[in-house]
Amino acid sequence: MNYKGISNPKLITVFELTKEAHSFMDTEKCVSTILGRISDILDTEVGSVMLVDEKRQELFIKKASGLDADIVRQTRVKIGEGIAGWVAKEGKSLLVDDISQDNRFKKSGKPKSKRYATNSLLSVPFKVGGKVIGVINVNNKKAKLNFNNEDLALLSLVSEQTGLAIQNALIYEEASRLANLKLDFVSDISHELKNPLAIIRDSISLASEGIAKDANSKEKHLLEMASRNIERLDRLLDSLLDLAKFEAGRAPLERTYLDIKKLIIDCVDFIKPIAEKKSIRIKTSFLLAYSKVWADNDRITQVINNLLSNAVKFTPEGGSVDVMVKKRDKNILISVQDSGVGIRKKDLLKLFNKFERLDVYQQGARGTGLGLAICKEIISVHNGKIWAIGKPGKGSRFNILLPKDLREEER
Amino acid sequence: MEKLKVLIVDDEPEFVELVKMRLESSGYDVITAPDGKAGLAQIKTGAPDAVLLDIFMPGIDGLEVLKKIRRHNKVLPVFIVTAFSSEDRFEKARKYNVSGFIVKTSDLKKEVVNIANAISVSRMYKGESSSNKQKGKQ
Repeated sequence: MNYKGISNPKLITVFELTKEAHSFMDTEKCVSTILGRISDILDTEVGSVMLVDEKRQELFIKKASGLDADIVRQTRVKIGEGIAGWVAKEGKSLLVDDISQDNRFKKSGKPKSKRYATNSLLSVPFKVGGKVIGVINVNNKKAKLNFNNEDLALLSLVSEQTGLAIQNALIYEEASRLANLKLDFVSDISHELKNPLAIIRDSISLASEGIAKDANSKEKHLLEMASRNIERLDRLLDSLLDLAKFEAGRAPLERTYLDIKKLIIDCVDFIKPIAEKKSIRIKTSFLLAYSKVWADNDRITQVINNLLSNAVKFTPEGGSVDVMVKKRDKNILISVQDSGVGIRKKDLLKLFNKFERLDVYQQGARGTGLGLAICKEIISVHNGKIWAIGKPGKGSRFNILLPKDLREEER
Repeated sequence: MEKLKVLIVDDEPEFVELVKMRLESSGYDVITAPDGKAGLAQIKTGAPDAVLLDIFMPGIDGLEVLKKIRRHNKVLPVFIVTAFSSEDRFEKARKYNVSGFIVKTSDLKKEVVNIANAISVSRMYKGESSSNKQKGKQ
């Protein structure tokens, strides 16, 4: 396509439009912007963006201007039929000066309604990787002029530059639709499982109370084991639900200006009794003057508790856990270093996957397999970063970067 | 002293059995009803001191039962039982003077302690109001 015929101011508008179109994750907004701006540049009466319905091999109108709402809702064009259908099938643009004179579209030349009559039109495909994902149509210039080759070149340029933006928005929408479906499913399942689980939990609890006096009985041991695993199952269900909420973007944060130093001290106090049982020493150092972050207190507490309890879990008796907090550029860096078994390089990234069971984790550890995956989601919605470093035998370190409270700049 | 009597209205027999055991071991008399209609009948004939009422039941659901109870009795302590911790029916139920909410999936041992506490508190107030009445008479 030759763009040389396009005037400079129009090219600038196309550039701006392209930039804007790529900023949307919502297909409707994306195509609205494209259509609105194009109608302005080309000064048209009627315009529409149609998208391909893969399953039915049809085009439907995603957004239109100057068309009746009924037409927009009802229009379905088979791929290969009519003007837009031809453009979608062939993947080629079309400029028609006077449709009533064009032999290819005799039938379409007689509009069913007299609401508007098409004289001159442009129809251009949106292509991504050679595949047509939709068509943009503009009809009739307001000034009663026919479309010319500059118009065609301009619309083609826009469609080439924005096809990917529409595709991305479509993919994003589909992904969030699936994530929401999954959340509903996980949510239903979790409620359905929790009811019988509560009955089992309480039956066991009642049974344990009945034999409490006989402290060393085998039955008591078995009931305790059952009870422990019910709690584990319960935690697993909570975690699954939690993770599905994050994946669907339905885990709202309750942010406050919280003091990360205080939060960490509280978390360390909480884990200390467990660490002391294994004679593990927990050391904290805070190498910063101002330690406030704009974050959700409960969620960050959940992350720190998770990292600390992992550190204690994987550190042998008599070992140590070091928690360090310091400034790093515009972030606060939190490190949890343990003197445990360490992590192999190839496992460092896998750690944050769901249900990833690494070799070290087989050693009697009883997590849900979701803890770190949830940590990653929590830190990510805070615009932070979490990662692990470490070598086998040299302990492991978990780092978190959290954006600092920006008000500090004003101080 | 005479034992306090608690009525459990719930269509899940296993849940009923467990709560019954817990309450009985805490010194309560327990009567039960598997649905709303039977529950209302039990309130008349059994004269319970408190009611645990499942909100989701076939037939007359918990909220309807609660409304019917309140028509004749404004003070009987009623605890709403539900499978979910967040439920907009909670809010509706609140309008009808509810003594507490019991979530089936939470720790029943703790819930039963909460019920016992709430019953004793409501007994206390009941005692106060009746003694006030007596003062009025004098």
